[in-house]
Amino acid sequence: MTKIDRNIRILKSIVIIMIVLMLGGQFWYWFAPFSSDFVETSHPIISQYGGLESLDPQQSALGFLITLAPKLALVWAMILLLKLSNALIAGKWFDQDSENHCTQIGRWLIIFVGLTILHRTLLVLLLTMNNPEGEHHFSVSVSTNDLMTLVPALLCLIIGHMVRIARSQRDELNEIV
Amino acid sequence: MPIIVRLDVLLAKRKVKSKDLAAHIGITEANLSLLKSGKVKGVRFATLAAICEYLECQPGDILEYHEDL
Repeated sequence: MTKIDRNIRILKSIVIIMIVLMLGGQFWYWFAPFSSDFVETSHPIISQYGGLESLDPQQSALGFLITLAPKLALVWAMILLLKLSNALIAGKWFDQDSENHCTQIGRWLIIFVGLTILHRTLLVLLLTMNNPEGEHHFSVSVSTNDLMTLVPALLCLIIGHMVRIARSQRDELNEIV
Repeated sequence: MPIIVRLDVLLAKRKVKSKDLAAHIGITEANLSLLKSGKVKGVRFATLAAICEYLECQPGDILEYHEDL
């Protein structure tokens, strides 16, 4: 096993643990009876608007779905990363699948950023939906973390494009005898 | 493609088998067949030199340019 294969296998293990923690954490935060402190730490917006206890069951269910959406996008990007890792371990560095996975990871990371920004807006709307008329809040916030996530997203798109060019050059070279 | 590969004609003239030429220049018979039929995008100088050496000819004997093709 080469060093790069070993590193990819380590990365795979880390990604699997992250997926489990992320999805497990999501359910834990919203459905464990003693998890409100965790929710408020994870979603400071909720604590700013009265905490988890102030939500009715309908708001809790919607809040769960709203906060789940960006996580699902990130989980799918990670699953694609696992697929890419498997392809790389199999030696398919310049394969059509590797190119597609790379590009798709980039796209899903951009979707994740979009959903993260959107979920904060929706969460504020949800938390203030039972407020008296005129006291519903609307906010749009973009954090540096959101922008930082765009860096690996763009890198994935660029690497996908580089793989496409390299593959076409290799194919052309194969047609020269 | 206006470039015509005359390798099959040259092989017939020299009475050389494709198999022997392929073995000499170090490519597969399948690739030599593709080269003979002109179904390749290019020829390496090394391949061309090995063919010329084995068949005792010039590159111009193997490749021809036809404007109307």
